[in-house]
Amino acid sequence: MSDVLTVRNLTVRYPNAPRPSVQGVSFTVPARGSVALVGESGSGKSTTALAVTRLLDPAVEVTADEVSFEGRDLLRMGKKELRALRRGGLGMVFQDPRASWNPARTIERQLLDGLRGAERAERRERLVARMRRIGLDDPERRMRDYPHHFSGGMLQRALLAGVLVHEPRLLIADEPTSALDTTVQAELLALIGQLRTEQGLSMLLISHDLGVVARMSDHVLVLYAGRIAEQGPTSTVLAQPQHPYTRDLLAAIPRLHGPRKVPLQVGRVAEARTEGCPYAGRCRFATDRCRTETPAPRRVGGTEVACHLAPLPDAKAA
Amino acid sequence: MTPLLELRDVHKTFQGRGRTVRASRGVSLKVMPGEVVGLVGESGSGKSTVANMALGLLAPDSGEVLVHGERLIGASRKREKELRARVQAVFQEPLLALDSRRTIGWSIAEPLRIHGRGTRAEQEARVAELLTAVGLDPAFAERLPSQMSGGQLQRVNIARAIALDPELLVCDEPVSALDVSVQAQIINLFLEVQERLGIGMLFISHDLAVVRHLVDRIVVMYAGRVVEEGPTDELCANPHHPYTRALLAASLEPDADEAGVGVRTATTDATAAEGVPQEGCPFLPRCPLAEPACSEMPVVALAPTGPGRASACRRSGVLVEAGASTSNHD
Repeated sequence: MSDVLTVRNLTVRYPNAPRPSVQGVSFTVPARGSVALVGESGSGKSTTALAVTRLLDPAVEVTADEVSFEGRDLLRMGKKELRALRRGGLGMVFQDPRASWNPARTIERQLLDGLRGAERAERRERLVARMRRIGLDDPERRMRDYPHHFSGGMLQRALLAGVLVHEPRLLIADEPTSALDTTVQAELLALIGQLRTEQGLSMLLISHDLGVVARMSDHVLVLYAGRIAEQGPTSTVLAQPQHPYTRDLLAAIPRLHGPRKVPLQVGRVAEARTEGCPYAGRCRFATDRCRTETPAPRRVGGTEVACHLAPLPDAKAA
Repeated sequence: MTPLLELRDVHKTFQGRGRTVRASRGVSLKVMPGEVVGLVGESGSGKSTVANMALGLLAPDSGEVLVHGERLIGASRKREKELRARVQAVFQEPLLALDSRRTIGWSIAEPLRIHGRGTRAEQEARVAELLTAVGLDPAFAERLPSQMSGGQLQRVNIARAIALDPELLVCDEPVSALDVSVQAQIINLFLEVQERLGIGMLFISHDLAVVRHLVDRIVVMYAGRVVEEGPTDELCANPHHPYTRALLAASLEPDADEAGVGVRTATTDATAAEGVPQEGCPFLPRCPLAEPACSEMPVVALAPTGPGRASACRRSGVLVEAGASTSNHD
């Protein structure tokens, strides 16, 4: 039992959507491991996280061969058990630090509410210790403040403290630093890294930012239009991408060094296709086969890639 | 040569519910004809306040905002309209900048109508020309904003901004809301438009890597002040202010080594603005290079540190030297 989270063949379809938002996604998060889901808007990365944590509207159709947390079936779990899990082994942090807090209540009250069991004084003490650990000066006093007294970075830290006080085994973090300034982001990422090591915490990270993914994950899934385009060890996928989409995505990132013009390969925007390879409409290598036959994932080099044409020539020239 | 845009010692303070935000504390900057200047800083640095003053959307408390050497605010109505036609804007949210009930063609032609350029037929022809110029099918003129993607809408906003052949574009985070691949397309479109029209630009962003692709010169703001400026490549290679250095270090690239952050965690700040000392160096609480002497002196003025370069830091010399010694190794 070394995997904390197992997802097999997950498919999610919103009512009246022309195609599933997530289709046939499988992955596992090993104990102490960190897996990243990366993709652009509409790739299905957040929907995957919401489906796993059962936070989607009941009208959304979720099917899977397996979605389990430490061997327990998440999809068939009762409401009560699920709530206990969210307050225990499974911690979640989302993008917008302001949206995660109730503006009318103090930080302390909101965090204490989530803590059950022990006496109030003891619960408070545990919380204060966590707050100090995440870098809040004078936590006794600052915890009595309201969310608007905190900066975005500080709110996100406090949220992390509130989640980690439950000693989760898995942290699901959906764009945890995307709303923050770059310097604040770097600090928070470093903190998450430290806390993960200290607590032996596994992580499922959802991000659009390959820079964040490079720093925070050991394994990455690149999603495009609800399907896994490529997955493998993060360093391999970033250094030797085999899927044209992964290459295009890497090439499109603004850089501090190198040529002014972004060496962009994606010439035009195209709708994701419902048949064949979803990327065929944008891919500069696409053939007739790509437009009719959906590629199955297979091992190429160090990664698993869903592309008829892999290995691509000159894999380093991305 | 008269600058297209000049801000001279511009101050702007916002008062609200017991809180005072000094968004601009003596900002001076110039954009010369055809020059592309990047204005970089984190949230609360005052960069958008500067953009809004440059556009004449906000009046400074003191100091001057000059377009072609003339004041926008306080000019006669006729003159103000003429000056405004020369300075156009592109904002962050492509959808918010367009009227959702009007067609794309109507929106692009709006500045032409306001400024009475051409007949109806000429305006229609110009819209088609502009759509082509930004890489869109002229048939898109008939569409509504809701029928287009974010990237396409930002192309529309650029088309509208260049409709009057302005001399200056003020762009406030124009690619921040876009996906990476779309962002890259829009960055390249800006480069193309700039090259073809020789237009001047003031490009505002929190993202140094984005700005780097577009601009000749970078101005870095922190807490309402300009803390460093210089030519893009030199500034990115050898920052002369500790804040610029921190910004560069915090920029994550997928293939970069895990670089140290170089910023002391500002854990005492209640909000970004309150964490800044009212007097003295604004960056002091977060500065890894700070010495006791830094806290004993008033704000350091922006001073030259090299050709075309300036920094507002008591300890710039350390960074200038560090930069000089690394380039010797190359």
